[in-house]
Amino acid sequence: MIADQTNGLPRYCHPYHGGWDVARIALDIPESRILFVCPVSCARIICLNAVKYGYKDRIDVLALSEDDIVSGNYEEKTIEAACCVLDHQKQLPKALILYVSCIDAMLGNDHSFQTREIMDRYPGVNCFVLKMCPITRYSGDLPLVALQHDMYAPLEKERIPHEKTVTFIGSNIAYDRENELVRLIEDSGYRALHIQASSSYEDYLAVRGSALNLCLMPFGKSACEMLKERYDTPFIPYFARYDFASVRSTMNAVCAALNLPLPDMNALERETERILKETADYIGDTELVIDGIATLFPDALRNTLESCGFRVRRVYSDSVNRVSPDIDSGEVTVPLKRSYQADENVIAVGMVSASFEGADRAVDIFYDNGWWGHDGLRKIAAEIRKAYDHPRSGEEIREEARR
Amino acid sequence: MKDLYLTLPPFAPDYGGACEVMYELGGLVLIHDASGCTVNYVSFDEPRWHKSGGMVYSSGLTEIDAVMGNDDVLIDKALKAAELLHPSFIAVVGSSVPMIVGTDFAGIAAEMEERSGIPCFGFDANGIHSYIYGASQALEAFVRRFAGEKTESRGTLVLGLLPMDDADLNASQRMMNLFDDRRAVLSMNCSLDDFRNAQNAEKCAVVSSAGLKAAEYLKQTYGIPYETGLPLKPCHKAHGSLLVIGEDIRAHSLAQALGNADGLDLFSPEGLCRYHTVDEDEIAGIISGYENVIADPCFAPMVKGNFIPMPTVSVSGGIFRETVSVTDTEAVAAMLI
Repeated sequence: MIADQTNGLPRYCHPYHGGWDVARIALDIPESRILFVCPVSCARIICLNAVKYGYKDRIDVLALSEDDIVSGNYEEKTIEAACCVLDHQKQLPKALILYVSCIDAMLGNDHSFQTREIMDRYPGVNCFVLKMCPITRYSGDLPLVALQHDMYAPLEKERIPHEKTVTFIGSNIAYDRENELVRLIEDSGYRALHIQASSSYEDYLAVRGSALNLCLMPFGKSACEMLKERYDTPFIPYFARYDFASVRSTMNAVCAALNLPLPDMNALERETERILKETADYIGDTELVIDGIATLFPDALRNTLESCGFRVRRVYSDSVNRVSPDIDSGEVTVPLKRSYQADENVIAVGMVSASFEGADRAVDIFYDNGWWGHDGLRKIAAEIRKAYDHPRSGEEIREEARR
Repeated sequence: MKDLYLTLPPFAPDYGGACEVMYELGGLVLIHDASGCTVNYVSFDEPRWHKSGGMVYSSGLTEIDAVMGNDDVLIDKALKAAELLHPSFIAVVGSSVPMIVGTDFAGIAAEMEERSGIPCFGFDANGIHSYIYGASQALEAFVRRFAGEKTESRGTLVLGLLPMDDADLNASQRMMNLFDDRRAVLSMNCSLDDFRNAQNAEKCAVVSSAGLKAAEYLKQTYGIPYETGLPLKPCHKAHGSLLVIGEDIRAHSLAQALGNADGLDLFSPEGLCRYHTVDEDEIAGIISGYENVIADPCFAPMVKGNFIPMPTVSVSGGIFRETVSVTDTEAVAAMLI
């Protein structure tokens, strides 16, 4: 059970999610499509994000009326809609995700009848249910933790032999080859598998044969635990909290697990430190504010940046995430009042802190942007420098972040 | 299949419409949800979010409080926030889960008002009705509550002008400028005082169906006449058949101004337009009978004829930039075939 951290106040909700929502994350499963089954408004943000980012052709919505909800009629209606969606496709998807919302949690539906029926009618389609139920956030796992778990749960339980594959789990964005960890893995002859970067359902299935799962973001921990139990795939929660010791410890652990030589960490650290100190000098006495939406590790980021000469004014927490043991708690909770006065001596790392501080300089990142380790720190430094060089009005910053 | 959206996104819902009416009025507004509905609203339904600080929050409803009917949590949160923010009113707005458990919003508002002495409102939105329903409820409630004694009769009160009906705030401003003698526009660039003085209007102009109930109340109570429609310049250039899709009064006004045209209203069960439906299959069937179609860009995949995109926040949430202004009928007519 997760405690409510809003201190008895209403929740401030912001529009700054970097274009990510639960549907876009679920569509990381290649060759899948989604049928939302919910009151029509629940799917609005999902569909508009999909229009905006060009994947609306993978999302459909069955709008539930009051009558459907009261009568329970929508169980049959869901099957009919799913068949209608599948019949419309030139090529059947490999997976059909039935996405339900808060009211489903209230009604306590069992969807196994529906998914079985759909899979019986379309044998090549794996049909399963995912939940977009923020109302249950205090009743169990964090929603994004549950989502990552539920995305991998539909994999066949049958084990396959482990191959020279390392799977990255828990991040919305695939880590690129500039990252020292990806480079280490690929240069050693292993395949770095991110289903987010794949267009083949086979790669999703290949997760079962992974030799090692790397969980660099806390949201993937529960999924990794399940995959370990099912397929005996080792994993360690390799959260790198932006401090050099954590990065070194993760690199050590990965090298030990795969029997690889450790790269020259001293050289990596010296170079990162040089870049950070140069950036701190460049921005002078301009302060930073950091928020828990930009990074899940704002405290660690603060410590590393301060040790290299940056001045951090404060760290805002996310009221939901802050109680997770794997996520930094932040220093202050978000207040109710936003500032619309331009503050010219602050760079906000994250759009929530930009909104509260009225910052005229901002780094727009969301949940670490798929950045990690030394490469991640260097990218953040580059973004801070860019933000410093390009002040804009607060309104412009907020509007851009939304679009 | 009915209720299945394969092409279109869901449109702006009732709680968004209610919040939009109240956004500039200095009140504390709580959407009674877990957070998703409020994120919907601030992300896509409120173009003013980035310009000015409206006090719209989520109540942070939890499963256990919903199941147990623990409305005190909502009331306590609202009153605690009111102590910090000193709002001119408090409103609680429903969503889908409160609909399931039958939350009594009128009762909650009454209790909050008794405890705080601040005017309080409760709106039983449920995320199923259109934004027009929610906006209409809120406009009527505020006019009923705040309009006072008539002391003069001057100017036009524009009712039902919502930023959600346009592509962006500049477009809404142009729409306001159509009314030279406006004394106030509800609900844009307005304050609670404009509601307190609503009874002093000489006449009302209803520019979306969200304003109809408030206009009717002002007519019945104060004898203020009203007209529906936008004062668009007629432009009867010869063209093939035309369908204008959108909000009832706006679509009808543009269809009338351009001639040889019908309107399709997406948001109300009845009104001025020839068609009223939200069913995708039905809309596709109607569209196929017209040579020209004016609608939000989200409709483009459904149109085989000449398509003139005219984005509105109520459909596409501000994703698309304005292409042609509804107020410039000559420019619109030039695009018809």
